Amino acid sequence: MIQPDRLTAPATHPIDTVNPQFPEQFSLSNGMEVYSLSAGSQEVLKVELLFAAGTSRYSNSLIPSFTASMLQEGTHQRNAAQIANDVDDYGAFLELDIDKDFSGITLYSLNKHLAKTLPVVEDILMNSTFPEEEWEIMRSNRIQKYTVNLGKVGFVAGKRFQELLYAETPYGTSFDVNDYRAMQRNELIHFYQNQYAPTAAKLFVSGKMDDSIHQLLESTFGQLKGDGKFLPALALATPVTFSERKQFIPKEDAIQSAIRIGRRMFPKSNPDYFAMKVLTTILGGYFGSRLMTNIREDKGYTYGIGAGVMPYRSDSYFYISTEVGSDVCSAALDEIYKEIRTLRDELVSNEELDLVKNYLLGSLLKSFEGPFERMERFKNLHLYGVGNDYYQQYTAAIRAVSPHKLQELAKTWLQEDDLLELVVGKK
Amino acid sequence: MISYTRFTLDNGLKVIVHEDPSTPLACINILYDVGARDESPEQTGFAHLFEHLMFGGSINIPSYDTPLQEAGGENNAFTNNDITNYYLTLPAQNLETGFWLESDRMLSLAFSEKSLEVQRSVVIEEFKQRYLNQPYGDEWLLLRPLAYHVHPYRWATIGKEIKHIEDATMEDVKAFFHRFYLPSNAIMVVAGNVKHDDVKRLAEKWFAPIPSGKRPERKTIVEPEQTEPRRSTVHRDVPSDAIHKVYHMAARMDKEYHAQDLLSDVLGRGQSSRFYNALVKDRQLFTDLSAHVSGSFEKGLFVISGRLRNGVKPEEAEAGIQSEISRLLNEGISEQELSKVKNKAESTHVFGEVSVLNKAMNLAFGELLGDIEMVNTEIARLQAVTVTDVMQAAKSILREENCSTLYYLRAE
Repeated sequence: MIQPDRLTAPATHPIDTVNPQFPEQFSLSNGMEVYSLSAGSQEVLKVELLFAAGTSRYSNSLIPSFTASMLQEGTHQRNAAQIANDVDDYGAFLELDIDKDFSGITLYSLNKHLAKTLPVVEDILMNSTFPEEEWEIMRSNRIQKYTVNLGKVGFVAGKRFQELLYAETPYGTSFDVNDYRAMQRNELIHFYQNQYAPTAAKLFVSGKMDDSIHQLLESTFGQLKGDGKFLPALALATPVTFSERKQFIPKEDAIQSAIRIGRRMFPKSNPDYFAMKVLTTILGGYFGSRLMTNIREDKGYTYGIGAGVMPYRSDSYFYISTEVGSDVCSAALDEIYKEIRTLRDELVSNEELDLVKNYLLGSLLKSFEGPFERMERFKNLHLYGVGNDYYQQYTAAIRAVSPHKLQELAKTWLQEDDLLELVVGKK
Repeated sequence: MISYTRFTLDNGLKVIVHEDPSTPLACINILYDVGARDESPEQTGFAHLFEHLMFGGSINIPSYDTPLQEAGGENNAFTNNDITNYYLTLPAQNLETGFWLESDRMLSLAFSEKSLEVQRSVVIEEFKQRYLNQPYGDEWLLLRPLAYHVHPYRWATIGKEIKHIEDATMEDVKAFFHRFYLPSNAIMVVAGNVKHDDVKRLAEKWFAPIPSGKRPERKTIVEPEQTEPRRSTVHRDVPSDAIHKVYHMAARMDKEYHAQDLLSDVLGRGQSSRFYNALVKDRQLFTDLSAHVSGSFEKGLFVISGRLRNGVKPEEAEAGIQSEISRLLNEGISEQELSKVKNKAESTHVFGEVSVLNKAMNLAFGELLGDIEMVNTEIARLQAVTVTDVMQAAKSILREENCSTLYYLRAE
């Protein structure tokens, strides 16, 4: 049997520029903005009503979160069990999601059942009643789950890191068990009335589309009245200077410690956003990254470590995140800072940079697979104040970025004194 | 409807091709017919540790990840009690890079001492992160040996204890590779923007020269029927009590499987289920209570898991579960209830077909289980289940003498 030449890698070909498919845009009779993207061969649809009603929109950030979750707990026509049944009877999935910026009511349905499942979405949007008893059950269950989460170093670190990084802004409001107890049902109802008007939503629909779907959207949502607009992004105060950049929350019995390191950056619309993405990918954004190679693959200190830039509507932050054996926590910290210092002190080799560029371009291509992913890519530009040429710019910027540019960014943004460090566990 | 073509190389490697021109990507999924069930009881966690070592360089290629990333690709793998599965996606024009990488590590690994040493530590950290440093993390480490006394399903994929991973030697690693990582013990699915003829040519070029080896035989180990209730109670530093009840049930390919799967949905899938409405909402005994099936290739487990509402006694909560089971056995289920869980199962299946990689994995699982057509017949099989079948499933499974119960309680 002839052996192929296994010592030489097969020739690779340049990665295609992604040619993003964007949704068709139109409005329903009442002005509700619709974004409709048709793709895929399966008879499936994702219908998402998105509101600018994230957790940053209320002083007690639990209120927006409970408001979203309580939408499926009862309306004038249906109690919680009926809502669940009316969704499940047709094999649909109803999801109520929230992050700092947005909350969403999302329905996944087979095309053939949409006429039956969509009215449930309309009902919870318009007629939610936040029943007292359901509300008390949810509150006490969530308190219990929160208490369980407090036993996880990763959870405690993630929560506290946000609070410290975004101190004194609506993105950094802290909460604890007392805030769960302090919530009033009326606050939810007011938040719902103020934030969930049908005209305050953007409607994203993706999957196998046809005219009948558009007609169904019009007949279900097009006549709903309300006043309210999709809210613009919150302006954020400039980052505070940390009184103590190193923070430590001890947990006596921890056999692993959670580490978070990071800082606030700039909005996605900043021209340096792309190059920063390349820089953080080199540091910790893929399996072959420097942090993974050093801290996992060379030292074996962790199961995983990552770095990246997380965008909000009007800001973003840089982070490094890992959980390491408590016995090697300080050694891991030393290595993390060593890798950051190397980015400042030394130019990235062309070889490594080319690899990361190809990796990012390949990932971009992959991130457009299927109708739902394509819609997510559109939302990622549309909702974050950047234009439709974002992915072309991204591709061009990745191809163009030089080792010098990356070093300049590292020197500007990754100075040790500017980085917040949080350890939860033992060190 | 998922279309596919198939061929087998002379060395026994089975190859399946699924053409999907709608994506610019290609994926390669290679399933090795080896899982934690093939480990020796004195050396558990080995299949999973080995999965890590598969990324530590092969005989001719020092790094697996680097060339793949250069080609714009990504990869990952998982191990469970039944199988070890590796997958990669990359831009379709660079498909050959995937063939080069996967065939070289099927041919032979580099077997570097450094890689073994490091991956032992990485896996030990994984053990700590997922099973020891989390509230409730060790539940399955306790449940498996309670439910299985003889079958290798009695240990978890991560292994029984950290010591087994610490003790792994290079000699063990080599023996494991030579025994299981053979073309005749693998199934490769190539899917996406690919053509059958190209895949055939590349498979012949890169995989056909790999020696076939002798496909390992799996000794059938049958778990004796459980004849009396098993119970265990542990106390841990957790804020709330938990209860698990696990019952022996059918294997994935048994004819009773689908009825048992749907029974678990009726009882405990989602917010329209019986458990949720009766015991989380109405009686408020639990904050969470669900049921599911393990879906394992050999006789599996029907699992009921719940977290108790603080203040509720475990005996009272368990009696709640029992009362729902009795109600189901005495009063039966309605056609409507069955049709609901069938519709949910159907749409879960259809939504799963949106991803090419998912389709590739399902083709590989089907082939290994001896019926690749199941990717297309699964929905019909679910739809064929009757109310009588589900009731039969309930009667045969949900018996105390078939059940292992774990009380996982707050330390005093």
